[in-house]
Amino acid sequence: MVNGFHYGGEQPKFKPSARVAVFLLFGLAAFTIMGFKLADMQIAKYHYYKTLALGLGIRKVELAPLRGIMYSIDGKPLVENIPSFGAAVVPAYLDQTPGAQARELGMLSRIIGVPYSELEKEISASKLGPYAPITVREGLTQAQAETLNEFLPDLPGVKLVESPLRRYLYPELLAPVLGYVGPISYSEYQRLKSKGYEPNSVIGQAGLEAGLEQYLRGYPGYETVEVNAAGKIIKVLNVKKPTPGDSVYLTINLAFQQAVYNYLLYGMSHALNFSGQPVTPTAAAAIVVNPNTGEIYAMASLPSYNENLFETGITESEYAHLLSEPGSPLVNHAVGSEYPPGSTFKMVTATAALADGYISPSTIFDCPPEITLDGYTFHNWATWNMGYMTIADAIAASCDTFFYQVAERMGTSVPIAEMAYEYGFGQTSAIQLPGQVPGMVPDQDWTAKQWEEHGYAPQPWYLGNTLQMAIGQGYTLVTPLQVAMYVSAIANGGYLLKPTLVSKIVSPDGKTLLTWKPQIVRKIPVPQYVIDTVREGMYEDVVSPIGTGSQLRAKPYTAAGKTGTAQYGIEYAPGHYQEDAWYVAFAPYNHPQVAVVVVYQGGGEGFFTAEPIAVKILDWWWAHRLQISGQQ
Amino acid sequence: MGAQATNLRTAVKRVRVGRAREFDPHILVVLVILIMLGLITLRYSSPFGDYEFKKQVLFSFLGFALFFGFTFLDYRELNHYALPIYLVALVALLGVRIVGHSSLGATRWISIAGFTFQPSEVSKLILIIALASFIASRSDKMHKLSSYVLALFAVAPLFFFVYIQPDLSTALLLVLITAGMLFLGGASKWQLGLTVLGGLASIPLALHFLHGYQRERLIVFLHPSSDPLGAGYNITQAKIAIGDGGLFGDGFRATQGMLGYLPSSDTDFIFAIFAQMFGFVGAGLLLILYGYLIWRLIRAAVLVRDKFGQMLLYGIATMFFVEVVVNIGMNIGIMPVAGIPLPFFSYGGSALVTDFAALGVAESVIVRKKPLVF
Repeated sequence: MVNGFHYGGEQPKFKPSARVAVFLLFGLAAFTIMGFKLADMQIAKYHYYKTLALGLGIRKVELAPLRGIMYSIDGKPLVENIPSFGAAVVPAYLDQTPGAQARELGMLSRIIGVPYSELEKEISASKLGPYAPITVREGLTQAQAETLNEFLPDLPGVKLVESPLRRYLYPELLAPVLGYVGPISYSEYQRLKSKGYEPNSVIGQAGLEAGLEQYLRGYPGYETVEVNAAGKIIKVLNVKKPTPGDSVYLTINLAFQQAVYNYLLYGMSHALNFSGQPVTPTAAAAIVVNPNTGEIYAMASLPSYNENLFETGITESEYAHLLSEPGSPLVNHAVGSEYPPGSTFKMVTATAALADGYISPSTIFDCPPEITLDGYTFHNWATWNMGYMTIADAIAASCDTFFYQVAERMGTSVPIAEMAYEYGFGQTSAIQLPGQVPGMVPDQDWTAKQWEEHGYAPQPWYLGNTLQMAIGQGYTLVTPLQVAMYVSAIANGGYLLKPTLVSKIVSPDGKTLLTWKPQIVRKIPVPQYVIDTVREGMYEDVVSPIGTGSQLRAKPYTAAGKTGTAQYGIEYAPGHYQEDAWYVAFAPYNHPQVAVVVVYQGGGEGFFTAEPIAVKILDWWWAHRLQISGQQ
Repeated sequence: MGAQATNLRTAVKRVRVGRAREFDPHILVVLVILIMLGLITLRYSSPFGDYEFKKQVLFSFLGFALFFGFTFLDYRELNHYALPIYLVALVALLGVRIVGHSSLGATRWISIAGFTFQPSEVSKLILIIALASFIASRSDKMHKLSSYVLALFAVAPLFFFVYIQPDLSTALLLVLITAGMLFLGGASKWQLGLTVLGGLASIPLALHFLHGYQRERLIVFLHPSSDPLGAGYNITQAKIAIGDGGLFGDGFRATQGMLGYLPSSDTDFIFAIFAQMFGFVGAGLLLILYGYLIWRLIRAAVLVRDKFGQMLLYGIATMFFVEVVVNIGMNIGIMPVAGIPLPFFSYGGSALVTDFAALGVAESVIVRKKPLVF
């Protein structure tokens, strides 16, 4: 090499050291042993393993746990599990010869009464692979199950599966509250498979069935079985029993719930507007709650639906019908719908005005039929002057113009919004129900954002906004449950409580896992006289000659209440706008034991539509109060 | 002299970038065959094979990028950065304990920008780099006690952090890689003997610290009939699948994994699926492929003059050897159940790209193996 260096030159000789030789020999030995073992298994013992694989497969079969039962507070079951059979399809085992598959599915369709097209759709929609059984129908009738069993030899891809069915004992009564169960979805399965869910598990889909899933579900067991080539179980080798779900005792009192439901239903056909003309509400909700504990005795939502439909496999048209019905039966309106609160919101305004010193309990304003501010005229509901009054009188008479004058003192600041948050508006509660909506408490920031989002320059919060908000109109939206807890807070002297539908959870071995204890979200941060004055206003509503709660007068119990009639944009006749009719109440005034909220969407006047129902509910409570308190 | 200096510079540069002529195509060919067989098997390994197949294909592309990237990278850079790389790995493993995702009680995954990866898989390669660097730096003193003790101290934190994931199987794999590298790297006989004795002596202690499921697996291995339907279920099903494959295999008919009989059929027990699909002919060929791959790595290591490069090759060869023997051994029932993936077969991105990267590092050593001789 001319330059005096070069690369490596010749290929170096392969001369392994002793250690490398040992390593190589060791490796060779290991691979040889593996090779012999493979030959032994795959050649010498081939027939042995082949038989095991084809004829005597050992399989783990999941045993689904029995779902927990929900009881009313008085110990009556609201739902039961009934033994039942369903039909499942394993696509990989369907007869694969052309035409045969259609014949097989056609036969199945005729036996179980599910349209052929729906079968095909369900099978192609499954993302679980060809070997996962797809449950196409649950709750087969005895005759269907027997027929299917008879024809199984001709239907290689069809399985008869045992699947306990959920039967709700009081259909429609509690449907939006209890919800229903249904097959697990692919995404839910992916999320939950580590917790023992299987592709064909059922899971709570709405209401308490979904909210209490972790208690109601239980733990699955399994059995190890020997199956033959056709998948038939030959021998059970090992069983680990599933653990059933927990029993959940609700706070719902069954008799009270039935009464409230029936009264609310009655009100649907007896709604009147301000002029006394009949109107047809689209939906309604009622809540009865213990204002000292947050326990809900009754929660009704209309229109309702028959939740048992979901258990036997609801058809697509039935489901579409439920979805398109104007009153949205699948929504629990008590927690899942937002309504303008109307005059029931005036206690918020009063609390804020008193606490921040805009007025005192003895401040007196006139109550004219209208007042003019900034060139705009704002009307009272009454066309006559109701005279001079205090804040308590103004709540009782629901005088809008009094509250306008209070709002005028507040100007464009928003103490009402702050107080609304304190009372729990604009936020969801800790109740065990999914599908809650937060409602809306508007303030300066929110309105500014709204303008911007709609492409306008942000406008300030006007005095007019405060005026509207003061009487529960404008942008404010609330849920009936929020109102129930707000009324409870006024009733119990200023404590916002957590609402609950669950009083006790008991495990299958009889251990009490949870007993509800009242939980305070917060004390409303105002001096005691403020709450007392607001309470007095609700009392006046019932007893004062100018009060709107006159239907509760001359009762054996003393109640306190408030009407509300909230207009919302839709004009159903010239000059007539749809209204939500509210009545809220608690009783007895001195030591409240029960708080009631009734609301009819599109129900006209609160005084005509909602108040009579609230009165019936309170009357029922009075007649049965001893039984109710005896259960606690 | 000017021309000579230029030539020298070119020559040095050429050594740095390596010589394409030295690239070992055998390794690449075996790698391509293995990954293709692995992907086909994965596709039919479980009801979710379709989804996992697509994901694994993407990781294979990433793997090939890493393979060629590491081939082009001068492996001696790894020697310079061995310590920082090692420290980063420790931090990542610790990070898993703090921010990691749990799966079945073990926290082994860490999530970065939406991708989860398993640092304990990558730690295998890190260990090899760190240990190779250490042994190369003390190549003339490896027989001394101080070297031996220092080496053990250096790798102990990595074992410990992997062990507390908890990932006992990978920790054990790290121990075996270390043992292999110390053996091939020139530790003295009595040191190795002491290690073996120490290992045997610590078995009762280890049993005490084993998690319930690990102890169960070990007992099942020692007494397979003790619980054929509980913990022994997997092994029973794997053996049925393998035996059912016969001489030529069942082909693409429903595998035990797709039927849902064999759990973990896409990961630890994928060999059983392969053996069922391709029979003894396929399984034997697979053993030959792995054996040939390991042989090519050992052969190159013997020819390499640079101690660091040589130790890297020994380490990588040991890693593949241990993984293959432990995994296949477990599938055919001659090794206890341990969560060691089968290279290029088991579903899992972290292990796959680590295996690709390891072969890339090996090629990087091979293309630069010819020393400059003056």
